[in-house]
Amino acid sequence: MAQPKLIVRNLAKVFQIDEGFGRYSSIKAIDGVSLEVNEGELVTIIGPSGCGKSTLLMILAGLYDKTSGEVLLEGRPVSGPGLDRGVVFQEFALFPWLTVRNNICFGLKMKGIPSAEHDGIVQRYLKMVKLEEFEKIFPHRLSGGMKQRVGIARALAYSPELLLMDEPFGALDAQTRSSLQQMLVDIWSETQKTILFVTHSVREAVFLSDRIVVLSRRPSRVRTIIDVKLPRPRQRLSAAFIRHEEELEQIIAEELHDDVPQVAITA
Amino acid sequence: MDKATEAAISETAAELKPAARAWRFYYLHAFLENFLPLALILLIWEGVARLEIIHPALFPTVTEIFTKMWELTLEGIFLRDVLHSLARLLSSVFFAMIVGTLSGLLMGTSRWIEKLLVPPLNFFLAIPGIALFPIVILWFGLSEKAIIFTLAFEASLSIMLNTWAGVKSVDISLINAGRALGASGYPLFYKILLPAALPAIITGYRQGFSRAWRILVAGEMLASIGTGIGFRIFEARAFLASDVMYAGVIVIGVLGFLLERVALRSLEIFTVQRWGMVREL
Repeated sequence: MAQPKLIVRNLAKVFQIDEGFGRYSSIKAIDGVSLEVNEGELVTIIGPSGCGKSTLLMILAGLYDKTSGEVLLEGRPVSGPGLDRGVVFQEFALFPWLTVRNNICFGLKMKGIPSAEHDGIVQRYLKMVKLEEFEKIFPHRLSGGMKQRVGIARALAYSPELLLMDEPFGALDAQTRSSLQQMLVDIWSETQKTILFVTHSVREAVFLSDRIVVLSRRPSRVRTIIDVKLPRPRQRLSAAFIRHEEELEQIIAEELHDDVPQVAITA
Repeated sequence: MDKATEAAISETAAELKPAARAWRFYYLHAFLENFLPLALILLIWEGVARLEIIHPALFPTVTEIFTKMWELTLEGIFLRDVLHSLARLLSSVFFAMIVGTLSGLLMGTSRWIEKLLVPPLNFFLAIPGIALFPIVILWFGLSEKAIIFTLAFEASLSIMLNTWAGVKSVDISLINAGRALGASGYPLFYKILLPAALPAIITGYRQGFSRAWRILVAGEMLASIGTGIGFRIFEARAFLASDVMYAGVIVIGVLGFLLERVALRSLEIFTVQRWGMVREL
């Protein structure tokens, strides 16, 4: 069997927090997470709120430093951010001073792709996210769902090895969320990308994933990894689907069983 | 996606595309919007002055003021004063923009530069610009250099402060997005931080302009520089020529107004307002 695309071994993260006035505290967010993602898989990371799943994704994206452990992408260690990965953020993070087209071209320019090819690439991805006519529009005129679609196009345009998505549909209404989930699956089957997706929605996880990595509460470890063998296209209301949902809800509920309140960490 | 939804989306896209405006109506409209309120004030002034509620030597009518302005223009003095004052302002603010923006950006990105520059920045901001003039005049004499130096210094303080604050308050997710897309170091600086901090930077320019403008007039008075609106107003008191004084003050107001509404607002409209980073006014 081919080597997994992404290997994470014993990843740990401790935050040093500056409380001001000379006081410091430390919080252990991640306590030895190991996982593997194979080429072309869509893997979801889920866990109770505040368990560190976004932190984990940010470390894989190279935007946060890890405290210890190994992260290997295609066998190469990952330390900082890079164009071998694409990131989609919960807050969209589109550049307001650039049109939709120029947002998408940003990664292309950084990668050094010749400008003659830009038009074709932009058209291709705008078509994939169904926003062809919005090429010259500025982001502030777009709705949340549209912004995120641009975010996805922007992250995919320069053909990264791995797509990392941090609760990308969390800020959207339920309808938009469902339709974007379907769009993501369509894009995934068209591009065959390897996708790592963080969410706290059980339904979303079951709808999207080949496998679901369930994290424990903070400091997080991998609690279990579930294979979702449902055939695609998946029916959200089918008995098998709901059974998967229930199983997952049960596991997460067990994680939240203790009375210690969870505190989300932002850095 | 069905036909109806596609059609709705096309319509929206078409609406959002910037349409060509009827230019002559736009500028006429803008002109009226800006000047009518002022014209109203002038009208009231004229009425009050004619009634001679206050002694006419102290409160001339609008017509007298504008007549005087016209006379001075014909003599050529007036135009020269305006041009000299503007030249001093624009050259010092131009310099301040470069120095201020650059140092503000550096302060916002480098820890040690920030630690180095913040205490002096706060110190100098606390000192009114006018108080610096006597010292600067000692250095450079009663000269243009003295005026421009002080103006540039004062304006750069405002610009530095606002740029620094602007850079530090840039949404971290924009910086993260930039880094994830391969930007770092220098490109991150001018492709992400600079445009993201632009609303704050423009506010800094606005403050820099007004700070400089205010001490320009005082500076011309103190430096006895011979030309300039500020100097003209000051000189007029020796002749009790109140109409000259009022004329000078009105011109200062109008010029400041034009700089703000024409220059700075245009910059704003063309950049941060178009990008939706600032609400339309």
